[in-house]
Amino acid sequence: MREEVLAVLQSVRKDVDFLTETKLVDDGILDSFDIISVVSELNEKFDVDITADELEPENFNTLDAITALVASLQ
Amino acid sequence: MSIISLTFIGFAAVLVCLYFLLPRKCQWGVLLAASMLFYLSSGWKSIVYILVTIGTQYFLALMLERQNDRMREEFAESEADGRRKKEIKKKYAKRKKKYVFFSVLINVGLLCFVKYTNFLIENINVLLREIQAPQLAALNILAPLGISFYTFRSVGYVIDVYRGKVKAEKNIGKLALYVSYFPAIVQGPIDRYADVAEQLYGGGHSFDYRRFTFGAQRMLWGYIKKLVIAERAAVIVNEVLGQYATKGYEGLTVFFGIALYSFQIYADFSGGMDIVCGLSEIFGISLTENFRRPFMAQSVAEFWQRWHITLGAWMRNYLFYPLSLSPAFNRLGKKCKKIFGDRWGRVIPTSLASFIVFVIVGVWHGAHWKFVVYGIYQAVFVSTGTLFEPFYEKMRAAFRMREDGLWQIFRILRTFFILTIGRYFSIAASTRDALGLLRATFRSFNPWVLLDGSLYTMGLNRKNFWLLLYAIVGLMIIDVLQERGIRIRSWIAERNLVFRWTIYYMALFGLFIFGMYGPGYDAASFIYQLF
Repeated sequence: MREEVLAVLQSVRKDVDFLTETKLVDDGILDSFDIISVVSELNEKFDVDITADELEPENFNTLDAITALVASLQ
Repeated sequence: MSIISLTFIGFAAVLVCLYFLLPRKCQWGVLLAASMLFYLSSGWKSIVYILVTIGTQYFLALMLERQNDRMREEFAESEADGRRKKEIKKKYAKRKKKYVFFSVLINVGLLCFVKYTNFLIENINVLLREIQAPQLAALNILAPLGISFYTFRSVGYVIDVYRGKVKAEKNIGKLALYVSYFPAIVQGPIDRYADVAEQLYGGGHSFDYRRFTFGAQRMLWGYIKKLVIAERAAVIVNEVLGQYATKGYEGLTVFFGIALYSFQIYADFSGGMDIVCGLSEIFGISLTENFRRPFMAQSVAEFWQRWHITLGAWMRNYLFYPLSLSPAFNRLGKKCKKIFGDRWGRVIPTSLASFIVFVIVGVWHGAHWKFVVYGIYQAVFVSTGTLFEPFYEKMRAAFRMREDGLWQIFRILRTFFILTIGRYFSIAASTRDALGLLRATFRSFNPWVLLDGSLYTMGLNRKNFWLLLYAIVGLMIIDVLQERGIRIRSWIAERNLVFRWTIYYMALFGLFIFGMYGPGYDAASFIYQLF
């Protein structure tokens, strides 16, 4: 699943190294537009329902956190 | 009680003494009593509004917490069955939304009633005049102090309880302190409950000399920004606005006046934030920063990430995200994807949501059509920035533009220019007036006014004028240093005693000598206080 989440992230932002970044939201690497794009793609690809309630920095700061969020909603 | 009055300084001094002399468990009680006293000093009539907010939000959050507890119990019983968990979540979301609905209805309803009733009546009267029907009388509604700010704080709190991000506060006094915390009630910041609750009434703070001096320095810097820069800039800004038609100000004179307003509002608002954040720092409470060197922004979108940060964050968390992920926007995204392809399918609904949020932010500034125009103006730049990014990238490649320092400076100046044009709408009395000012700006090209002494005849003499410009340059230098990661207060603290106290005395005397005071040493109110 991690690889698939990574593919989604890379489709939205090609210029970011998601394997090493640990503060994607806190450092402003992903802005709110990017996050909405990522969430829409993840919802569609994994058939989950990530809502505004889950859009907290701790859920989107790293690739692993995003993967864990998707896994918890499946 | 204005936070730039001597009364406030005295009030704060007594409060700091009480705060650290009384037992630590009393600290939150001292702050609550001070907040209520501060609120009552602005007029006892409007206190009903804030009490309604505290009461309703307290009750609704507790109801939400009860639903959260029941949901967790059912989760535990479902034994990790994913599908069952989804069903439970859905069931409770439906119930909990009712409480959030009432929270928004009552509190945002009150805010809208206070801010927009007369605006609505004015517009209905325009229609009634057309059909020659009798006019409606405007209502005499008193806007309670800080209603925008405490409404946003409290609604955010209820939504965070709904989301399970925070637990509902069981002590109504403690919640009352969060909602009415006096330094933040005048013009923010709009802190999230999770960020400040523990600091407000978590444990208790002991006196810390370094924190005290840092807080006092920040307050002093805030007063300098407000009284030396903002109040001085206001003289020219008011002259341009009030007299441009009668005295025939045009061209660069008008543009200079409005550009100066950009610095005035920055010094005014961020100065106010420095005062309240500095005072809170003395108490051991770290409020959320509202500014991050906004004039260093290289695009309008970036400016809004650096200006009034807590309002932007509130709008993002509680409006932009829910709107963008709503079923209607999802459907729109899918349709756009089919017609225009993947990228546009992603970007169009998000840009539309952003557009709506900016219009709402515009209207939040005040009940006037000019603020609708102001919101749309900002929204256009933010949305098109994203929509046309690939086009801009191609242009940069085609013209072989390098992203070097010069290019960045150009972008900063371009952003400042775009925002200054936007300011015409936020500061003019009406949209018509703003267009009049714009016409006056562009009908003449008169760069000589910057050199021939004309600017010295607009309320500030030569000395005061140059003092203002030097002070603005100083403000920008400090911004640049902070942008480069230099912590100025820490740097001062590391110098020797003589150097440190020379700086403190210079700042203090600078404030006394160059500050512009009104009658009774009370300066005018803050611009954002009126929003």
